[in-house]
Amino acid sequence: MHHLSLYFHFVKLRIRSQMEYRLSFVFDLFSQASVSVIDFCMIALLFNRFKQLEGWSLWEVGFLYGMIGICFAVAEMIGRGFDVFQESVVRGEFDTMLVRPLGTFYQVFAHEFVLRRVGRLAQAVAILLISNSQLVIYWSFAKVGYLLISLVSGTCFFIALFVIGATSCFWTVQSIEVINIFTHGGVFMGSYPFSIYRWWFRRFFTFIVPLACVNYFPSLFVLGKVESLGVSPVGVQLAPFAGFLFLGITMLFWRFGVSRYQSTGH
Amino acid sequence: MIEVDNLSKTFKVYHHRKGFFGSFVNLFSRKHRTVQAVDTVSFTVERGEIVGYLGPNGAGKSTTIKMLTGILVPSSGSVTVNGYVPHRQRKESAKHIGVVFGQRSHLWFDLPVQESFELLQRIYRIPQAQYRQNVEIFDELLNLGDFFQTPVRQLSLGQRMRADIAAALLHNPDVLFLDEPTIGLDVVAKARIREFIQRINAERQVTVVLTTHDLDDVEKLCKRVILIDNARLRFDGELTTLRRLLSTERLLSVDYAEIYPDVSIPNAHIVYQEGARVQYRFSPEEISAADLIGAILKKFKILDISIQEPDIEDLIKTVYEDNLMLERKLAEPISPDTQAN
Amino acid sequence: MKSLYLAFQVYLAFTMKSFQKRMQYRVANLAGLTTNFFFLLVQIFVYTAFYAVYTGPLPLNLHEIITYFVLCQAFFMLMPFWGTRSEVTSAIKSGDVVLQLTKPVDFQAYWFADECGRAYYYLFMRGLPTFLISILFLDVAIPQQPAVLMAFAVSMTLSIFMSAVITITISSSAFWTLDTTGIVGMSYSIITLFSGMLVPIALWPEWLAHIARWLPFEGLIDVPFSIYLGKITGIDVWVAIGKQVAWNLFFLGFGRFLLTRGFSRLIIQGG
Repeated sequence: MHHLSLYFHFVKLRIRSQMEYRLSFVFDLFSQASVSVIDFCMIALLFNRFKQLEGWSLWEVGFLYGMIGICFAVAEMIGRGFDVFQESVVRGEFDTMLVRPLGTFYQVFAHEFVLRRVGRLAQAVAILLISNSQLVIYWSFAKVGYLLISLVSGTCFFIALFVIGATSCFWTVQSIEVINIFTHGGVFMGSYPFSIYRWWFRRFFTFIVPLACVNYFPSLFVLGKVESLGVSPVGVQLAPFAGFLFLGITMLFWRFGVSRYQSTGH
Repeated sequence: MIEVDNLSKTFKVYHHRKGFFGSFVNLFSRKHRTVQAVDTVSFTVERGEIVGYLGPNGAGKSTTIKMLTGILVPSSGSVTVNGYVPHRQRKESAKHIGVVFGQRSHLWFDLPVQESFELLQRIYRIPQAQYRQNVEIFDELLNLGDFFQTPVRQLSLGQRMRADIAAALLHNPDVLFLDEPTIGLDVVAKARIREFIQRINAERQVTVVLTTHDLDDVEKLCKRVILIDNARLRFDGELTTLRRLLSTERLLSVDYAEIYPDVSIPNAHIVYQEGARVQYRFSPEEISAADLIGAILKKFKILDISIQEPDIEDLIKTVYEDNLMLERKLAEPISPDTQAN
Repeated sequence: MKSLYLAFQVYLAFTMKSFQKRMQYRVANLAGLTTNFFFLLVQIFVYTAFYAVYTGPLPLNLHEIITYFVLCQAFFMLMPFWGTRSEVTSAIKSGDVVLQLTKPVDFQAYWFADECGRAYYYLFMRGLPTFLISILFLDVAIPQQPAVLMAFAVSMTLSIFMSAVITITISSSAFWTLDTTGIVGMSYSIITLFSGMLVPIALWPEWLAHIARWLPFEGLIDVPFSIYLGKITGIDVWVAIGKQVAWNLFFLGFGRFLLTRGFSRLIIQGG
């Protein structure tokens, strides 16, 4: 309880300092939204030409796009502390965290909150809602709950990727930029139905980096495509938990990394 | 209060291959060598002591402090602070210690000092009454009020240090670690911070461990000093003992009003002579500073005169180079008259 | 003539310096190269799936599409928006840029030289490896006629130059507003879309393609790649290259206008 209220206090302070430069904030918001809307333009252009993709319509893919967009925007908004962790180490901020009576994971998590990602979030939510209005989806409480769990799980998935990138800083000074493949690349590939990818690609992004579990499988359930594609319904319902599991594993990795921390300068 | 037993820390330093191919290979395998930063150091500090932890740059001071505060995990040996093992019971240990690094602030850069303090109140769960009382006392001693509403990034170095030290004491820690608390400060700011540390130590029985390059800090604050060099403990004892052992020689610089052909003074050795400026080296055991100055004034006209204390780096160098001699001297009993000096 | 040659040598030195500065970040470049291939792979999967079921006539076949996106990834880092965060921009923001006026060099030419250094670095360290590796593993079309290759080389060089002059134009906004993220973000969106980097303009609906043809940005990606693929031939090649030259001159002049205004503004305000 203490941790939660403290977290919100941190967030409040962060938001306030970001709002200090109001004009700059508005520009940022605008720029964020316009950059991400371009990705959807690409999808719309393709569907305008080709009409459908392995039985998926534009708005079904729009739903998929909206889901992954929301997860990534929220992850970037709240998980930024891990994304910029390398700088925290260089500036000695991590040393400060270590002398405070709070967990390191918690502190790095609470360290940053990027409000301007709201621009991207709003854009993704808008696409999701428009897609929903264009499709005939039979909503039930269970389905809404399932969708929300999936979105939280997808957010955990991206945060987990940031954590992996941050943890690598304990061994190498140059943070591994390869992690961008999975974050930005994940958003890109997650915007299309997984069935279009080769089997080895699908395996990798289901069992090792469980992107499909937090995005594609949940969308099958929500869009009512489970039966027609012959995927195991139980598997689809359990899939979102892979995101939580993934984050859990990376948290263990983080703990291991912290024990190897060498600090800067002697 | 603090117990350190055979504490060691080694670092791996990676060797980076050069060239395009080399940087590619670096990704997969890296050669490294081991650097011993702290080597089997042992000491204990009792409650209410102020200990100066001294040594040249790269001697292992900061590494030791980082192990005492739970930032680094020791390679071997043991540490307890307030009965906690800092790296294993990090969060518990953190509640009972205060840490200040002179080189960087622990406060939030873009928050006003007051909000930083309030955040710390939440983090350490400091009761409101205690928080208010502490802020009041610290304000009185350090004049925090002048800049209490200013964002930390806009503070001067002296203000920032005052805020940082006060922040480190808000939760009434039993031990305070200060790493270079007066670095870069002017004389007035230094004096103020020393006075504050002294009062906190006297009134609250806070144990203080202090690293510094400033001999004045040590003289004003520490009864006891621990010297470390090249990762090893070189001396642990009273400052007066160290002084007697080390400051056998001092320097006296004189600017004469005119150039004299012969400026020699008995019992003082001329280090160098450049025009009207002359530097003498003398040993207080052979001639006191007052006698030396008297002798000079009797013979010559002067413009300016100053005595230089050997600075801490030099002292420590002496200890390091002269290690055997120091041990021999330590074995000798201290006679009352030299102690008074 | 001799003085022109000497001036050229000075700016060539700036280009070389800018190139060498980037040589330090080779590990990051390796990561970038991997990222390029990942995106390329996904793009190929997407288009393969679209092409598999579509039966109507298409202006580009799958083989040509793959080639198009190989080129896209190869030249990705040469696009304008990557230069907008360069040292020159931060020098404008801090006002240090006035120091440049004390040097006996033309500022726009200096900046242009610096941008060219960046472009050539990414051409050799990112573009060439991407292209060569792609030839080994993917079905990449290679033009058979030397004339096509020549025309492509000319068009691509003009694309690189235009990228530099556009960067200078966008970044000049820093003279007026300290916060350029809004403008950079907007231009990023417009350029990625209308250059044809996301989807080749040939596949667009007619009305939108028409707009793209009237904008300069097709000269960055779509024009040189279409020449490469033999989609623009004969006299049209000359027209396309002529348009690129015209747009280059436009941005050169516009950028110069902005810089002059920006500097006078900076000097009046006292930097």
